[in-house]
Amino acid sequence: MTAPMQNPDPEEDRPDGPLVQRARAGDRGAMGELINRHQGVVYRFLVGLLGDEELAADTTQETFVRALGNIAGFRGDSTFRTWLLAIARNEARGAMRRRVRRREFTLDDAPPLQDQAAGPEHVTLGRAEVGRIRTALDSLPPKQKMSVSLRLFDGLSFREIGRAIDSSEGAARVNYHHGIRRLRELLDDRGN
Amino acid sequence: MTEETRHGWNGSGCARAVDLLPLHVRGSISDACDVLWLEEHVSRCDSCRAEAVFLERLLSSRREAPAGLAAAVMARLEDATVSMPSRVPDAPGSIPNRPHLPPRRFGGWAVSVAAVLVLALGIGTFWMAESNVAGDLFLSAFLEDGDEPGNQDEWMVAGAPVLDALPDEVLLALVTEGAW
Repeated sequence: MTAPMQNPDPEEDRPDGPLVQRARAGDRGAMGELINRHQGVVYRFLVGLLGDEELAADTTQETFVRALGNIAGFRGDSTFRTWLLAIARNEARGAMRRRVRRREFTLDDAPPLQDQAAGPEHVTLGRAEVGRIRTALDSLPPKQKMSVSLRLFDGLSFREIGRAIDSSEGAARVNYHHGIRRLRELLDDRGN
Repeated sequence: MTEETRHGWNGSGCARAVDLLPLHVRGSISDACDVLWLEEHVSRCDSCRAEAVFLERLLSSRREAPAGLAAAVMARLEDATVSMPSRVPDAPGSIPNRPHLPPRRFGGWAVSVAAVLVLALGIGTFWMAESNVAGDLFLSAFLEDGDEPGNQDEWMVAGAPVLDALPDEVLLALVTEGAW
């Protein structure tokens, strides 16, 4: 096995409590750090929910504005990230309703995302390969897609994934494994 | 030798490894013992080694949040001059925000219930007075030929007439007679 890659989110495993306390006191620096720490997971979660990168970016912004504007309501009984993802899911519902009204578009009908692979993070795979993987990932059923994304890309526990996708811990684990198995089928070059 | 043992599959060990691998390939296992165990397991398990390579391949396709998002959020928070509307869901770890409503008072709904009861009683008394001119007019406006005055259910709601459906002359007669 190759050596594990460097943690892409070195801040994520630090406890958020002190930052949240400072943010509640109005510390803008703490708010900015919370955004930097969690914007990736929220964005990827919303891409999985909405199937649209641009809409996901807008909804990520709405999520943080909503969360930080209401941070006094966060009591710390769950992780700040779990709380954020609950807000993101709520914001996604609103975004979907608005889009359905405009385009009669539903979550189940969401087409696979276009290949928008670009940027400095794609240094180990070619653009076409990244696009191919993303297309396969986007074709998974929503809960499988989000379970794989939250586990592999963001390192969430299955318990936390279950809360995020409104399922049990066991269902999150099953969704993850089914998703990986399906991706292997979709991307297995040896059969071609 | 079975297929599983030839490739190093050993049941629960592989199940544990498969659970940990997505965390390991992204370098987020904090327990050194877990890391050592996993690397030792993967070194002798073809199946889990292939899984690790596959997960690393998937990980390279990870999307990143657009640049400038934090600045945009901070700018909007700076601009916010009014408090945020309370749409935060009831997530674990939070006390849901509720709008600040004035305290409920018992008298409000009690008065409403009493008013409805008085109105219903008055209407019932009105219908009992068969000699009342307004009552005759009221009935004639709703009853068709052959209908009995007792069949009033269709135009009565909770014991009260549907006032919006009354012709103007009937309504005027009711008011003039003081039935209300």
